[in-house]
Amino acid sequence: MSSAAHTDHDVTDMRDVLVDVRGVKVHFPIRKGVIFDKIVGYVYAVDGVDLQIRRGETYGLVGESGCGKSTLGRAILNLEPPTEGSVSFDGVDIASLKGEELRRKRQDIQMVFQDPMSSLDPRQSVESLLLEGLKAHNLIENDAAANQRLRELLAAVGLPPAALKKYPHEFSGGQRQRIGIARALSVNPKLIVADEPVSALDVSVQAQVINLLEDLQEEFGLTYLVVAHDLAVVRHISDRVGVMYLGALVEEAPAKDLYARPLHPYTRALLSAVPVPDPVIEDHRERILLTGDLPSPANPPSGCRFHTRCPWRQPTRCDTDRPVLRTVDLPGVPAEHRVACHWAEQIESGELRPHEVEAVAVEQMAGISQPDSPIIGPTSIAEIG
Amino acid sequence: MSQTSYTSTASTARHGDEPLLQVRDLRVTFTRQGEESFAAVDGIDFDVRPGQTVGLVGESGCGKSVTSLAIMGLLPKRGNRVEGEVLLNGTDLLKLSDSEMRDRRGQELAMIFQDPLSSLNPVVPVGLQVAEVLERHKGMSRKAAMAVAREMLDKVGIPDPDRRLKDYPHQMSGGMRQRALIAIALACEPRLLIADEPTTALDVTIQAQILSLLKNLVEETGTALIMITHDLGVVAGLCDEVNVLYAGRIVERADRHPLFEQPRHPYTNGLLQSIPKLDVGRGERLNPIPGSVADNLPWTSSCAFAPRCPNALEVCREQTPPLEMDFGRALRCFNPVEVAR
Amino acid sequence: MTPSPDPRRFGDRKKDRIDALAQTTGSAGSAGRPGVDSGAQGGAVLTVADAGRVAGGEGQSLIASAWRRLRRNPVFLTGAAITFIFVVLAIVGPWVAPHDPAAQPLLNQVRQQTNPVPGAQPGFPLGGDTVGRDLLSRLLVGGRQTLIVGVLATLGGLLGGLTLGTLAGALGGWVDALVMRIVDVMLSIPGLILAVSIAAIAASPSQTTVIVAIAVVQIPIFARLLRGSMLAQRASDHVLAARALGVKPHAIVFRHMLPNSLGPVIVQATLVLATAIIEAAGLSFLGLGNPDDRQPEWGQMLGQAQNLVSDYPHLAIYPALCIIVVALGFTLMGESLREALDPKSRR
Repeated sequence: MSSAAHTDHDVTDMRDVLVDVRGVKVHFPIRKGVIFDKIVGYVYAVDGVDLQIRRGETYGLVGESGCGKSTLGRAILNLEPPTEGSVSFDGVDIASLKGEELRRKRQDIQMVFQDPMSSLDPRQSVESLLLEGLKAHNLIENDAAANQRLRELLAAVGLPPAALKKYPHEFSGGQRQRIGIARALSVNPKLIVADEPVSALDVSVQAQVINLLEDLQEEFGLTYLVVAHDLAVVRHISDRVGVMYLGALVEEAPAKDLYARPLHPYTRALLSAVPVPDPVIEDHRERILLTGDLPSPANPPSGCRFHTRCPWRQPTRCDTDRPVLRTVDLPGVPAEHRVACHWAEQIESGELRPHEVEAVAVEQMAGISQPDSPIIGPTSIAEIG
Repeated sequence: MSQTSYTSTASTARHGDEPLLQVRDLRVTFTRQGEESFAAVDGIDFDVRPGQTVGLVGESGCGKSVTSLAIMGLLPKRGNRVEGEVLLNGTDLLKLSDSEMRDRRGQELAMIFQDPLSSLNPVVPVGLQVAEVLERHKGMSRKAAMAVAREMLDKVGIPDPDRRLKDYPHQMSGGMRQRALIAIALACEPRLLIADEPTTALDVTIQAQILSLLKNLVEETGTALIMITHDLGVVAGLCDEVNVLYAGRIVERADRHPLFEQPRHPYTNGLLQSIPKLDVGRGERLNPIPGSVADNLPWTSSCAFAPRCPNALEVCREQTPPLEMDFGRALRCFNPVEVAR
Repeated sequence: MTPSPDPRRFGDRKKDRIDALAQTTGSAGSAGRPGVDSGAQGGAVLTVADAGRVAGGEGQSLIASAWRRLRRNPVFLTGAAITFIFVVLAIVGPWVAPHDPAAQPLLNQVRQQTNPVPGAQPGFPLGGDTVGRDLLSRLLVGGRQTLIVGVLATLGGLLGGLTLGTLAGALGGWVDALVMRIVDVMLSIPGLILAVSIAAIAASPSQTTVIVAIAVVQIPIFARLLRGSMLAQRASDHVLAARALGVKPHAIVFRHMLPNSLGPVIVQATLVLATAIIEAAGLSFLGLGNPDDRQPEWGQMLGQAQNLVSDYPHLAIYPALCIIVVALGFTLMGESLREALDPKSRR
């Protein structure tokens, strides 16, 4: 049943960590060559991430394309083997498991995918799709029990039993996503990683699926890692939020604190860029616009990865020392709110003012696709202000 | 001339009386061999005044993109039927021949699309793509056109424009490509620019740049803008007047402040209520609109939104609600959301 | 806004949900009209459940919907008709033929110099061949051998290609590289020359050598096609989802990857059948087929006709026409199948 944490959505210091990610790096080799592929470099998709997800909470991972959030999500499931680091799930290091051991452990961690059409096998009926997981982990005793379980699953996600005999293409996008969620639930996982669960859905349907995910979390005592680029969705659904930029976490805080008081320059820019459906706010808000292109993940900047575009960049430390995620010494900021910035306190207090940043266009290297993005890579030039 | 009278809003008064673009009873029906014909656009009327920014807002399948393609004359030759009128400065675009339309495209009206990579020619340098438009419509020489192209690239905020003139689209990243597209669209100073989901495929910080750029450019040049999007936040910041589309028809039209403060159509209201907000976190349940666009009824005999509508009455399933003026806005509903207080 | 969810009341919420579902299920049977929601306030009469409608009745798989489209496609129907006639004739040929194709009833009319090929006459609508056998009967019965050769060769190529392609696509790595290099070598040799070479290796030519030769030539085509499809499938989201679910690897290959890869392969098979028939004709023409011509086969007949083609072209034209028409039938079927199975035209 649901634990006490659900009624209190400001997560207090619960020490029950379900997922412990330490030093995870995912580097994709870049190969060139005519006959033999030589490795000429790496795409540093995820470059040293530590995070903990506590039992029963929802951790939101947010960032733009090229930040590595989807790759990190897959690395946690070991769908993308980490190059380095450990992912400790309930005490077991998933990153080091292989073969049959890994396959069996998969029962505990499931994934919900972004595109409901392509993540369902078009040739299998819903019944067959939902039975797959059960069969793979020997969870069914006989046909009647299986049928009962399938009905329960469908009921849990809001679909009628009539859906069992149908095929994915006969459903709407929102319904397909529900089927995907039902599939993930079928094996009784403890953790569900939702990779952009609503971004491919219509706006009016997104709210349905978000509500559903929350309901299911209460009902089944699930823990969620939600990876998304939509800041409002993440705000709504998460207890704690981590912001990623170019392969690393730059800020992590309880959702309320992060959105009320972003401390990292990138988070500030990110939040100020989100369009709000309220003309009064839109007319009067101050935007912090970023400049320059996103650096290539194959060639990240030295020191702080954000320093090439940071409006608060300082002549010392920013281009030489890579900042670590640390607590800040500011009044009113909880210890849980961590920032990876050398100057976070001075920026927040107003001691340091933002300045112009020279726009730099980064040549896009042919053949190196952003590991993360289903959408086109970011770049920008702009004015501050 | 169609019988329906145009229902205007307060913002139109600000931009003068003479509309630049008048869309009257536009209908686009798609026909496929062996299957039923499908009305993607089912009777749309709206005006755009010079310098005004008009939004077309709706979800997938509401017909907003098809409307823009019909206005530009870019629908495929076969498989569809277009009816109605699209008057640009008095000339009905739907009645023009292909070459007459080509003369106008780029010069009087221009369009930018969602995916800049597929809209740009991959084998032609970007600068040349801008210059080509100038050469074609303004008769400039290559040299003169390239000079103006450089100016345009600078104007849209591309750094180091001299070098970028020779770049190919694949060498530029998403936001820059979109800026290049804007440069091509605005090169000949068209009176009307149609932007079809120009920032949907971009990251949010880049989206902010591009929208800010668009806003500045249209203010500076006085170009009218039709902004097509599903994102109500974009519309809130950019558009003077907003049309909300559902299943191929306009269900509500209002100036942006009144629309967001007091949405009257249950669909608009439902959308605004169902969007997660930045300042509302866990513990507050969202209010989704049940069902999906697949649950529509045909407009010809009912209100298409009725199955999903919390305000639906019996009459909504039996008759089509007409588009009517109601407190300074156009509304298509038998049982709109009550004005609060 | 609704108050925050209270865990004590989630049982109620679940009950509401099940009630709402019950209404949807009930309405699903009645022509898909949205259910009546009695719980809503204020005159709301007709809302659908949260998830929307799910139409009643059995589901329709992609194959079923493709079949429905095919049934109305005139191109497919033409091709299928031709193929059907061909197959029927091939089966009943010997009983329908007016004469025994091996018998030589017109032998007495054959004169080497003046009348090497008996003309059309009552009882023999197409006349005879050089040894007095009834041409019509030979054509009718010859279809059977042609069909056997075509089908077996295609099947052989298909099976071989399936095996190689599945191995390469599913296992990847060095297996993939090795298989593909072999396939590349095979593809670099022109098909007919490869077939001739293989057929010529045999000690004595026979129908079996023809079948084997053509099958071998088709293997790399199928292998490459299937491997490409499998690779695309391997990168697809639903395979990733199956991996995430913990489905065993062989189940992933055979339940997820293979069925989705078969579409283009099936289409290719129908087209290959057409070319197999033509290639078989070619091999027989070159004398690499069954030398015993008492059992007629169209390609063989075509080959034998080359001596007299200038004076008696009909000896070549009739078998050639048969081959062309049958190949056309399969090709039309294959083309329309390709269109029907094209994922872009799926809903």
